[in-house]
Amino acid sequence: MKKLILFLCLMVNIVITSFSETSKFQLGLTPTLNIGSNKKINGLRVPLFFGTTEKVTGVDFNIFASDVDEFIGLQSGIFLGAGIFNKVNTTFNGVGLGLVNLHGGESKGSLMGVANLTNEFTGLKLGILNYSKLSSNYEFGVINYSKKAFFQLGIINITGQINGLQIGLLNFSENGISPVMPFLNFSWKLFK
Amino acid sequence: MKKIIIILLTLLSLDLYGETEKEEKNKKAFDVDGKKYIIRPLYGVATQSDIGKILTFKGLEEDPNNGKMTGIQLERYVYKKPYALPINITLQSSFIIHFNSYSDKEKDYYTNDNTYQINFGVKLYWLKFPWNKYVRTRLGISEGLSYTSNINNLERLNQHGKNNSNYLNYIDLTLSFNAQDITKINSLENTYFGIGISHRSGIFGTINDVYGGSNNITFFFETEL
Repeated sequence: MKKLILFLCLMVNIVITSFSETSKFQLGLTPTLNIGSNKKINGLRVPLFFGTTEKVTGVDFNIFASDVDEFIGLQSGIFLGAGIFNKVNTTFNGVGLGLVNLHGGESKGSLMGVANLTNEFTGLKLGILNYSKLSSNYEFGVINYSKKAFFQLGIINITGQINGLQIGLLNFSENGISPVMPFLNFSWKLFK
Repeated sequence: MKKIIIILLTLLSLDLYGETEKEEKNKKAFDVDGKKYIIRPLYGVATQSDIGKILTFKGLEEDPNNGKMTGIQLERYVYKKPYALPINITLQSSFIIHFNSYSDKEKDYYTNDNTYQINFGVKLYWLKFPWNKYVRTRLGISEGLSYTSNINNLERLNQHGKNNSNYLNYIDLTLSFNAQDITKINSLENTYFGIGISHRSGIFGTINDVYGGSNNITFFFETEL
């Protein structure tokens, strides 16, 4: 009986929030079906199967895969505290825990995952593969790859332009003291 | 081997300085152009080696029970090259049969029944390799959940006397090469040949207190529909 009452309360809450401009809770079932159907969530969102929404401020607790345009807060999930697949399309500010973190646009904060794939990233990345299409700040991983980077620590570090330091077994940088350096690479401009 | 890896990574680094591609329009999940599915029949050989040993070609150990497997995997594209990144994302489901045979002692412990396995997960393909203009290559890794109808002989052997589970974590690693680029037969444009690892494990005791799991080296072709 208690479970039934709790379930009914949850349903009433979902119905009430679906008439307001923002929701406190959303359950994203599929890319086109959300319970708590607002496009802006201030609170908790639980995407199940590539649940898609526009803006989330708060916590995203990912059961399988999530797709959001704008995100501020914490992305986590069911897999050892991480989401399996987190996709953010335009802006991200916060902490992302996911096996795969895939971000378009501009991202700020921290990402932890097996693969962190971003466009323009400011902050800390921790993963096996860190890839940034345009730029990144601090990357800690096995393979780090970024068009521009400030600090990379890994086994293989690859960047077009290093503005700080690369530490690793092999360090590739077009503007480094050499295009390929073992153990350490940096730009002489750092000291000018 | 180390020299080959260094040469490959050097070639990879040379690919860094190309022009930036135009941003793709943001699309919802499953809204993809072109072919939507990948189908992959596969054949596999059981090995006692763990993933680390297989990937580094160190001490590849045969399964003493000579386990074999065959199966079919179906994948649905979820995103193709999102934000012009060199990746594809698919959803993967698999049906696999393990052929168990055992004729030694401990007949009560091992089995001669087939094991039927189903898997479901999400797979990420890496598409950018410096030799792609010669042979298009894709490296895939999937993460998901696996269920078997019974425990196969390899897992009974690997976890002898320890916990086992029908439900385990599933990882599928594949490396495949475009068949048209290799054979020059145009009708094989959307077909790839490859090799992979089919892995089940308890993630160090996280799932049903299972430490360890099983690995099969797989050979396959995959085609897009």
